[in-house]
Amino acid sequence: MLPIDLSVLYVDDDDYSREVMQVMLAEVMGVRHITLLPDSHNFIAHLEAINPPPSLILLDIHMQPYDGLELLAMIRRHPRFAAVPIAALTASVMNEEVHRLWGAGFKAVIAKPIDMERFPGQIEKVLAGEIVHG
Amino acid sequence: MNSLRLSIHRIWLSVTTPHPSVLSSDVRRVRLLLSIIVSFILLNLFGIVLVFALIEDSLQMELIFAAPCALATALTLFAYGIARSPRHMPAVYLIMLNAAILTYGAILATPGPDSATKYAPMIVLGTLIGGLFLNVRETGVVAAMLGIGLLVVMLIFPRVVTGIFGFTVEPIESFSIFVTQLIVHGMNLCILFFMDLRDRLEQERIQERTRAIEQEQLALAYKRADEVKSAFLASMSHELRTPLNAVINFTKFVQNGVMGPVNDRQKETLGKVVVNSKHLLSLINDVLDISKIEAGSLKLFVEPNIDLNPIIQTAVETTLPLLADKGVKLELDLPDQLPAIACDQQRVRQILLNIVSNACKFTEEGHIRITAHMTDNDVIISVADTGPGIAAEDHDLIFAPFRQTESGLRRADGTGLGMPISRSLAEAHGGRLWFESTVGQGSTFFVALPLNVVAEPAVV
Repeated sequence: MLPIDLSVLYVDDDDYSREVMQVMLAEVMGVRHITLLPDSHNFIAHLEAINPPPSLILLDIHMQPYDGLELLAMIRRHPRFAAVPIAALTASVMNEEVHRLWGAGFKAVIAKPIDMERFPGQIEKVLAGEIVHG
Repeated sequence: MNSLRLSIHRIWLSVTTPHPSVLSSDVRRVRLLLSIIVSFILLNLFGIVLVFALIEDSLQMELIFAAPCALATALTLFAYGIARSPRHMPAVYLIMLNAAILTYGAILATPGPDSATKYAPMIVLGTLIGGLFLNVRETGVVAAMLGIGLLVVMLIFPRVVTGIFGFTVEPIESFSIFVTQLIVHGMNLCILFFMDLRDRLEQERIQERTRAIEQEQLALAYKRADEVKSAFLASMSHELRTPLNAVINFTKFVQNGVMGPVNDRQKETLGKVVVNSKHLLSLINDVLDISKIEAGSLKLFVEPNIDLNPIIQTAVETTLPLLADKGVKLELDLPDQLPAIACDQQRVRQILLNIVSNACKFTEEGHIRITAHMTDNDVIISVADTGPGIAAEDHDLIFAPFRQTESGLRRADGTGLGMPISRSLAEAHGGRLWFESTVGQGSTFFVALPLNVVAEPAVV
């Protein structure tokens, strides 16, 4: 179902969350190009250096020095990556937080803990540009 | 010239503009005060004329009284006007002047030696009653000023009066002066009493205002504490869910053989880890929800035109696995056209998920039927099951936080928070949640959501 050359960038400051995502993407979903970043230092430089360029970006929200909302704005301003599908991955699923993310322009919000059975379907929806909630 | 006009204007304003305390909301008390003062002024005028007429036993002296009485009344009114402003002392001086003028009027009129004695006891009594309401210092000041004034008048006046009015006056009879002075003094004491009352009213008002400010500050402090609590809950939710992401998913990776072969016993054991981790997760969500509800900080994110059909469908699909091993039929009987309503769809889904999953959990045979219909104001969704039913004595437990019925406790996989949360969520929408149940025949839960939601949409 997933495109064969899918390249995913995942930014999260929690080591175990990155490891979960690595296994999920690589071994459960068979994604071959995965880039994991532990923080948002020099984010644009890192983003531009990824080869092949990411075709899907997953962002944690609580990060240093830029949070997920700031990263979203930076990517949306970037001439090459403005149209890349982006999803927020957050452990803050309280209504207020989720609506803050919608307000900031995220079209997809995926709750942590991610659900092994539902996650591939959610990613497909994100790639198709659909709204993903929870 | 200009400055004179300005100061006259200022005096006029200060006399005619009522103090805010008089204009305030407590109209009843102020009106009472006004009417007492007006009737008192009239009595003042009337009483003086009457007493002098009786003393003189003729109305010849009318003209002589008219001037001081009119002046005294004007001064009384002026004093009243001043008394409406927060300046108390000028009003006291004016009242003393009023008393002095009336007294001098009495001196001018002092006639026969004996008539005044008849009225003296009544007047003394009146003065004492008037004095009851005043504070000691003010009574003393007024009495002293009048006494000195009288002394001066008694020394000077006989000659002056004779000179001015061109008729002879008998030597002033001191007892009559004393009596007249008592009348005037007593009446003015009453005016001071009303001023005192005004001060008390104003003080009360200041106290009320202080209280209101204090309450405002208290509310602000509560709000701040509430914000701190909300922030704490949000961060706790985040901190608890992050490690669960690793616990649940690593366990599932191993359980599903992603990390290498596992035998059936290991798989089953890991399955138990997953079930319990997910239970922990729902517990965290429920505890956070109930904390928010009890703190009154629950916010709805109301969106217009939400179609209820897919929300009900999702709730059914999510809970169907609970019926996997049971012979229970789940029937969905929805009208073709359910109206779109304004609601927080995540919360409505949560309510339905809770009711339907409860029905699935407790029903061992028979069916669960989900229906919906409209009334004039509400959409009512009902979930009827053929489960064990809820005993009458347990009906109150259903909506009490952290409480469960015996059968609920035996199952040990609920928090006892789902129903209280769902009811609060329905009520936050301006709706209701209730049930009907007979032991042995099943239960029906109803959710009513208003067609026009009354909840304020939260600002994001």
